[in-house]
Amino acid sequence: MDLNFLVVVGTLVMLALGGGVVWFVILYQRRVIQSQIEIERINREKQQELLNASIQSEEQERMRIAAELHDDIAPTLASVKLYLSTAALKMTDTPLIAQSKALLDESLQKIRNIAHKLQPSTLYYLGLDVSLQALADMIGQSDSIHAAYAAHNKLPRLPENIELSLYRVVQELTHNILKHAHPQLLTIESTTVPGQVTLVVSHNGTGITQHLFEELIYKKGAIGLKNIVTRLKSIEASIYFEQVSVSLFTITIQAPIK
Amino acid sequence: MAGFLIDLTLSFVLKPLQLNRSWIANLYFLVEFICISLYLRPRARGTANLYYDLFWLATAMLYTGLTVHVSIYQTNTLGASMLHLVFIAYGIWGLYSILKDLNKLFLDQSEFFWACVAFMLYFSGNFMLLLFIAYLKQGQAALWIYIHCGLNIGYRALLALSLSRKKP
Repeated sequence: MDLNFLVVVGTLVMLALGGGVVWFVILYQRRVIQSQIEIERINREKQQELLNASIQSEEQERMRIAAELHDDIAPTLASVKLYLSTAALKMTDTPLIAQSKALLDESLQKIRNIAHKLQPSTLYYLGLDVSLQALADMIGQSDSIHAAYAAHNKLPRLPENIELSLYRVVQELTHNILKHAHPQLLTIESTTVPGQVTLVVSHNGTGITQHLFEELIYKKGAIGLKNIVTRLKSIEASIYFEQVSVSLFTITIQAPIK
Repeated sequence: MAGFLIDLTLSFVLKPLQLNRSWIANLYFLVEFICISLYLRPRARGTANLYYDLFWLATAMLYTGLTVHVSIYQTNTLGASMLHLVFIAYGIWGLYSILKDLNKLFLDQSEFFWACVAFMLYFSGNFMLLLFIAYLKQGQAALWIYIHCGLNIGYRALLALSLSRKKP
């Protein structure tokens, strides 16, 4: 055999062997990384499932307490009120009874409000649009604040978990705003485009920026903000805090609709 | 850089002056071996570091002894072949350590990966040439030049690629 040919073939074979080793390393590494990515994906799915399960159980517990309040305690108090009315006809000390009835009325109203907050029936039956309107109306009942809701286009009915999470987040945000920001004006706006729903809560109080929000969620306490993050994570939504001008703060929530 | 300087010396100083070039080739193999051994040294951790140092020092001494024994003015092909086998083993070891670490998501971004590829390919190909060097030097210089230069260019290109991936 020609020795020149042998040299060329031998060199090529050696190169191929070297290249083969390199190729094996590349393929093996890729396979291992793919399996790692798959494991991470499964872990993420499991975490999402756990998150959803914890939110679901929390909601069920809220519903149970709301039902107890609405169906058990409220009728009992209503019966007491009725007895007091009957007693008032037979007794002479009516101012005391009238005062008791007023306190009972107040308690009944409070129980109804708590039950409504725990289980917003409008959300289940009429959707997010009506519920946000009702929330704004409820906030606006106070004399110290003007609250309004504006829908740029009518929100369609969304999957139950998305509607509930968005409602709870807006509820928590408005609660925090009223408690800490002390605004005179609060507005909730909603917009939908195909595949996405956007909610904007704006107010003229002392708000926070995204930077401060990110600092707060890693601090001890701030359970409300942490709940917001958890709920938004469960529906893969995002939140952004912004100071638009000296006296205008906005919070934008964007949620994908699948 | 050492390779580049030696190639320049061989081609533009020693060859035109018709001087013996084997001693510089012998020296080049030794310097290259020491450089690559030191480059791979951080990969040997813990007690392996000591064995690694012993190994490459012993190999370098063995090569030097062989060269002196045969004659420094004659290319030490046996020693060079031995070093080439060690270089191939270094390449395999380097690639194995990359697989073991698994902290590099993108291999093409790794400076060490490209260096190992360069060692694997160049020394595998060149090893075969060294086995036939006696035959190639006797009237088959063109074949030797074509294959060796091709491998050399590829080797330097891969090393340059590795250098370009080095993080500051």
